[in-house]
Amino acid sequence: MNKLRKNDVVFNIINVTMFLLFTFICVFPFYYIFINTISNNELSTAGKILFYPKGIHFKNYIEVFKLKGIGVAAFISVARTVLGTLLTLLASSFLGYAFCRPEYWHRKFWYRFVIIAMYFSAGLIPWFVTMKRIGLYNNFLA
Amino acid sequence: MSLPFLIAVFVFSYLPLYGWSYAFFDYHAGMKLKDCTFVGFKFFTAMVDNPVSRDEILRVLKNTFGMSFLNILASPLPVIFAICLMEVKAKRLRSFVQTLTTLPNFISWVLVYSVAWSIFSINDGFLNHFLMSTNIICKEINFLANSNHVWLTMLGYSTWKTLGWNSIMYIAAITAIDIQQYEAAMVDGASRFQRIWHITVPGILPTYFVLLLLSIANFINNGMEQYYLFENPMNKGAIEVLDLYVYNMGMVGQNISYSTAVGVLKSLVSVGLLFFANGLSKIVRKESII
Repeated sequence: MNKLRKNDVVFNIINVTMFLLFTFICVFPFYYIFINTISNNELSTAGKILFYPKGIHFKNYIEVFKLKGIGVAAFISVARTVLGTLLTLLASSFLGYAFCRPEYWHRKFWYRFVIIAMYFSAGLIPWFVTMKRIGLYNNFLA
Repeated sequence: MSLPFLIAVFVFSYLPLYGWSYAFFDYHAGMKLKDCTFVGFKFFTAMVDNPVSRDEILRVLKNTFGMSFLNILASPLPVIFAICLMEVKAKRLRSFVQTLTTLPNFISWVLVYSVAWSIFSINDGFLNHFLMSTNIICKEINFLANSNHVWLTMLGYSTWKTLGWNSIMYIAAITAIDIQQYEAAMVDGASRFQRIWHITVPGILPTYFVLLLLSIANFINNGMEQYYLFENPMNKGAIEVLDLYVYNMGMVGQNISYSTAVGVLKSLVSVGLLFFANGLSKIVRKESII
């Protein structure tokens, strides 16, 4: 190992630099938006805020929380995520286990049935019509 | 036990297929189906009948194929990312990088567009302000409403969003490789690159092939959200993929039967591609994926 030391060091440096650069690219947009929200509004629209906030204030956030319906919207987002993840996990594990057992009834057919459903969609309008027919119009469960 | 989920798949994926019948009637919004005149395959042939719609379809297909092909070309990127990440010895740096690069995957495309707007827009964006204030350029560059490099730009956004997430699977595959192989290779005197090429890459190759075949099957299913958000009159010619074209024709142009016909053909080709990819997998790897 010792005779490859120099190559290893060079590779490590390049590697870590590339990763830090890419991580910076991934995170910086969020940071930029955040410092714009807590900075002075005039400076923000004039485009003077680049890397650090100037004139820190939290009025923007207070305005957002005063919006009507934001509590309900947030609750719906959270509930949808939690329930959606749970149901997806349940469905995937049930179906995955069922497809692994060789004695399942017409296993190959049902497996293809489910996989092919991933690859086409019937379109927006039939989707809407189906939802209306089974009564899920304007409903959380949709 | 699994019956309710099968029923759910049936109701939500197969039952709306009844709506494919809209493609065979001269449907207008609000009318009942039996009041519309039956036109048979008129809308299917209308796609290739006159030169204008033929040109449209060819342009849209060119965009779709081009962007899907670029996505397939960029598919080794998560693999390289995963391999290089596992070469970093500091565990805390690795989890730090992994957490932060997976972050863009969790925001929806709408937020990605607003992020892109705040960075790239011509008068208010960070990049233009930064370049102007350091005097690198004298006139602002229009990054978003430019039709020159649209395919590459879309590829860039899509890579930014999905690289961290897609590499998770490869990282899991690398950690599953037997560590004794690495020790044996080190004893035999293999250099770092030789270890990567001879041990890590063959260990990842099955995972890579399955995901590659699935993305071939998704060749014309580019999705609509990303292209819908980044579309504007300047880059519309180069950005419109098949799903977006169906949306524009159907919802905006209110030409519902025509767009349903295009959608029907697209779904059929998708399923055909799936079986083609499965056949490829049987030939190359001697096992099928469905």
